[in-house]
Amino acid sequence: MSNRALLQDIVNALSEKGGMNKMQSEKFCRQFFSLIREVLLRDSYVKIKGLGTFKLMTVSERESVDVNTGQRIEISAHQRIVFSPDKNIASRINRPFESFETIELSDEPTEPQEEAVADKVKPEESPAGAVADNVHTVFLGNADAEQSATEEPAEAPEQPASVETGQTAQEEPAQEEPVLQEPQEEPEETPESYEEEESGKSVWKILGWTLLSVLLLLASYFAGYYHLFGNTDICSPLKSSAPADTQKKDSPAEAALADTLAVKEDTLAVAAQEPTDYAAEAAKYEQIEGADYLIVGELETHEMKAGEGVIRLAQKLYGSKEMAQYVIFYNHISNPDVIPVGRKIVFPKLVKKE
Amino acid sequence: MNNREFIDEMSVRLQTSAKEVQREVNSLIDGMVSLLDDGGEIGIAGFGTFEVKKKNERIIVHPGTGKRILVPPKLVLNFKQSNVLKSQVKEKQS
Repeated sequence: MSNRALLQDIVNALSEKGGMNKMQSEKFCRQFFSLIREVLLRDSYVKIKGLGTFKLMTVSERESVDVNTGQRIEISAHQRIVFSPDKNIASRINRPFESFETIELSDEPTEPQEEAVADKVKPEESPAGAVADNVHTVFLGNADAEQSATEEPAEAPEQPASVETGQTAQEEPAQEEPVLQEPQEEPEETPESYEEEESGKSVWKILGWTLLSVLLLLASYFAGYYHLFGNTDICSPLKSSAPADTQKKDSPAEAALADTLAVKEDTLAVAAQEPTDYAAEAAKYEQIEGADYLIVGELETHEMKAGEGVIRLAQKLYGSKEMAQYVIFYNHISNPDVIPVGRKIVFPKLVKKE
Repeated sequence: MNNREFIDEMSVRLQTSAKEVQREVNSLIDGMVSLLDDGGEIGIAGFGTFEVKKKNERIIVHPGTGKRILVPPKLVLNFKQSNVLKSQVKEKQS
């Protein structure tokens, strides 16, 4: 990292603030840290007021796996240093964010979140089912795709395969393609057929096997389909849902993403109790083209003091240095490195673009 | 070892009063905080690294009441031991 401070920087800061010159300060700092180390090794516990506690914690032995060889190895018990910051220093470090408080959420945003969870389940489910079910989903409306995926294994054992095979053969000319894709389905669906096929040659065995499993899959699917929906209008969704099907694979992921984003923005909006109609607000202010955030109002005014910089202030206020560009833009600062002391800077309120 | 013992030990080694040492320790910590405030980290050779890390906001569910609570983002001071110190700890153990 570029702004990594070293012992020398602490020494400089100390010699400025404390009552010692540089040589003494450096000696003091070195002594400080080496004493911590020494005592830590001796007593395994050092508490320093204003900084925190250093402790040696024992980690019990555990098993792990060697990343390279994949063999099981045992990590023997050892000690590690744990540092827990003092309350005082923790709050000083957290100062930029101290205005935030924990908020109890109402039940309202619960629903979108649950939807998001449900949406996340979909893409997990569908790749498992969808690869094997490519053929089946074509015949179904989008909403039914999952149903078929879940019902199938349940109904497969109930339905005799031979009843429906005649139908499936007529209606499914494109079977050969998915045959290659679904060897993983075989063991689940065709344990009985294994014994019957034993005598055949290995190649034919596998080929026949996969074909049989596909037929079984189709049969069980159709059995379920007719059972549930009756024999209505099979061919018309065939064409229309093919492109829709590919869309479907993308959309749940996007929907889930959008949902979680929405939740986040929701909660943030609740946190700050801001108005939601940002577009109207944003129109009143000059905006940076192509930026991620919209300027929707004024947050606070700050008078520049000696030694302050816009970037650092932005870091404190917004939590990110990137936000400085909005401050610079909004205040028409020509050179952010040189801002006269006493100049009033207005920090704009920013809202992420949708 | 608690704070007092630590300060006493320091004062013996540096041959200054404990009061003086405590004051210097405080301004040392002040200096560290202001360095860390800049969003940087402090690396001390042979000891370790102090670093400020941002923890994102998150939603938790209160196990007792079942209420959902938004925990705000916060900045936390982290310490990571250096390899030298790590091996010294190991040696001590064996």
